[in-house]
Amino acid sequence: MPPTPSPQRRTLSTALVIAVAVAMLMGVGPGIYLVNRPDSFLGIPLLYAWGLLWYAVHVVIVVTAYCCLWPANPQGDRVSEIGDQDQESA
Amino acid sequence: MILAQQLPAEGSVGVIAFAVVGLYLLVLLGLGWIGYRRSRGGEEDYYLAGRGQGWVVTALTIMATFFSSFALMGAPGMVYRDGVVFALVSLNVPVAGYLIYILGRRIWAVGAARGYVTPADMICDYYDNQVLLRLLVVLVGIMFGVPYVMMQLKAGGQLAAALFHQYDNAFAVGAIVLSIITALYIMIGGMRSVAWTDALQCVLLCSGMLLAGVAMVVSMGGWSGFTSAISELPEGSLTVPGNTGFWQVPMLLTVCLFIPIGGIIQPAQWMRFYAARDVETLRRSALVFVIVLTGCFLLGIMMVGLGGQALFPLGETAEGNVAAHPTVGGPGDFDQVLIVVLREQLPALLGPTLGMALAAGMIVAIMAAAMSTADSNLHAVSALVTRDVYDRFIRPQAGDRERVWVGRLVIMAVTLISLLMVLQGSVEGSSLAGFMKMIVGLGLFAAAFAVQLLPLTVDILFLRKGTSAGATAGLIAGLIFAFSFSTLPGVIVGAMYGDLSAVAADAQPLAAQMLNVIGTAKSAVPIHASAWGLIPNVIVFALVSLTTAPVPADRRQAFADLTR
Repeated sequence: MPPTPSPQRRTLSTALVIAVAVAMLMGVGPGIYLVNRPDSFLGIPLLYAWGLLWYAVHVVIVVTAYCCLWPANPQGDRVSEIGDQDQESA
Repeated sequence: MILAQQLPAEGSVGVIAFAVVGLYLLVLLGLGWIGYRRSRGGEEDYYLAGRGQGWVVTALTIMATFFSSFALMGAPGMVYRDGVVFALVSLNVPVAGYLIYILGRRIWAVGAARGYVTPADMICDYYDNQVLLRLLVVLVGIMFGVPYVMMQLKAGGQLAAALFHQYDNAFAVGAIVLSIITALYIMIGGMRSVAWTDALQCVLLCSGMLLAGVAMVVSMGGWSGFTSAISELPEGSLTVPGNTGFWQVPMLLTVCLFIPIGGIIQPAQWMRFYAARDVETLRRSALVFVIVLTGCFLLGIMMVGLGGQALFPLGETAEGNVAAHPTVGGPGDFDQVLIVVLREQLPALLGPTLGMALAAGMIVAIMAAAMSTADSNLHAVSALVTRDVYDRFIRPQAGDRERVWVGRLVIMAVTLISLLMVLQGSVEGSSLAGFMKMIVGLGLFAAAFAVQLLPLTVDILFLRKGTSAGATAGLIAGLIFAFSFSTLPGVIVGAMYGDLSAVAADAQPLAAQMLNVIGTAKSAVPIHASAWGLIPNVIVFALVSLTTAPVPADRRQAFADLTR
């Protein structure tokens, strides 16, 4: 059996899922109405700057998940064991 | 028409462009040959490269398969037509990236342990439904793969039409050459060749996306000139729902949520998960995918569409629809904006030789984008038809060698069918012309079908509550609805009955009346066809599963152990 995730990892996992949901709802969902006007921000269209902001959020999320949440090789050995068993039984 | 307007007058420049493109095509065939020499024979090696792909090749082939001519021609074309709103669509890419790890590692684990080659192998093995469900999964693969291949061949034709505008048949010749070269290197080397060529093509594609954006900004006088011109675009180009009104927020959200799902659980990507060496490969691929691909999209190619609007302002047709600038092409030729920018801006900016050399590089990038997706989808459809239909139902006793040759014949057949449809669609007044009008439209159509595999995938990998009957019924419902709410029924009804706008609604044929009802529903709830299909798919799957025999507990446990 794989090890049970620690409470910290569970909390982080939940936080990242929420962050993705927020990033999608704000970036390409109803959150757009907050910035849906033909203004500019630092010279670029406000809506485009909004997209860049949520891209940055996604980068933070994926880097955090990569470093802290996604194990480097979670079940490689276990899969090969099960695979061997499966082939033997077949 | 486009880039090649430079070529006849610039003999040496033409030579550069031809040399670059010719070299590129030779390299592809060379990689196909090397892939063939390195192959170890057999079906698993032909379709999954022996399950030993490292993370660099895996990351690049997944990215190249995900982004196609959609990225280099379709996306700037859509931004040119609708404005900044389509730039936000690039936020669908991170969703796909997360799924590479979340779904991909589980698919890899089950595939590696149980020796699966196609998506149907896993789905049908879990539900123990080897006939109807297998055929439905193959149908999904074909409904996704063929339009995607058509989309790439169309891009090849458009590119050739631009390069060789002085010839009447340039579009047809371009599409034919692209299809022949692509089919050849897949047939020679299988997955290994596809993945290696994809890796090269992905580098070209990403470089092309960034380079195009930089070239656009520079050609408009630098960042300040670019932002100044953009700020003067009409309000529709700077706000939701865009100039045509298509990109309402529900449409935008459903496209960004469901299209990447379709793009990641489509058969070609699914097989890339099987082909990965280990989980670490997919973990790194997911990271690179989210950061690099979204960045290339948002920071590179989107600039072309926006700058294109400033350089070549949109017009209006007699019917009041948005029309491309005459320099770009006909009223509906938005997809050509990048090529026009190459023609109009680069040689003037960098001088004829360097400018055209850069333009030639971009041409290769566009070809790379088209070919890298066409090859993956042809290869995947070949695997589905050969392994899931021929091996199962026609000649189960066939040996490995025969199966590989059947796969090659399938590649030839699918290429030919796609090519014929593209050529037919390019004929003025053809019933397919409207359906194939924009590259992005074809891509969205295809993804709507692949998304219908989501409930089954989630059930197998996470929930394990569904039943064979539920999965089958849900998938049938999803496919029917996705098809009904796509653009194709309108094309079919139009081809069958002609223009019915003058006929009273209640006097129209039944199919046209149903189409009117669907049109009303689409107007009331402007979500994408993928979502229209997914809703009944999930409901039917859940309801039927409640009343039918569950999957045996030992099989559920076996999958649970593998996917935890």
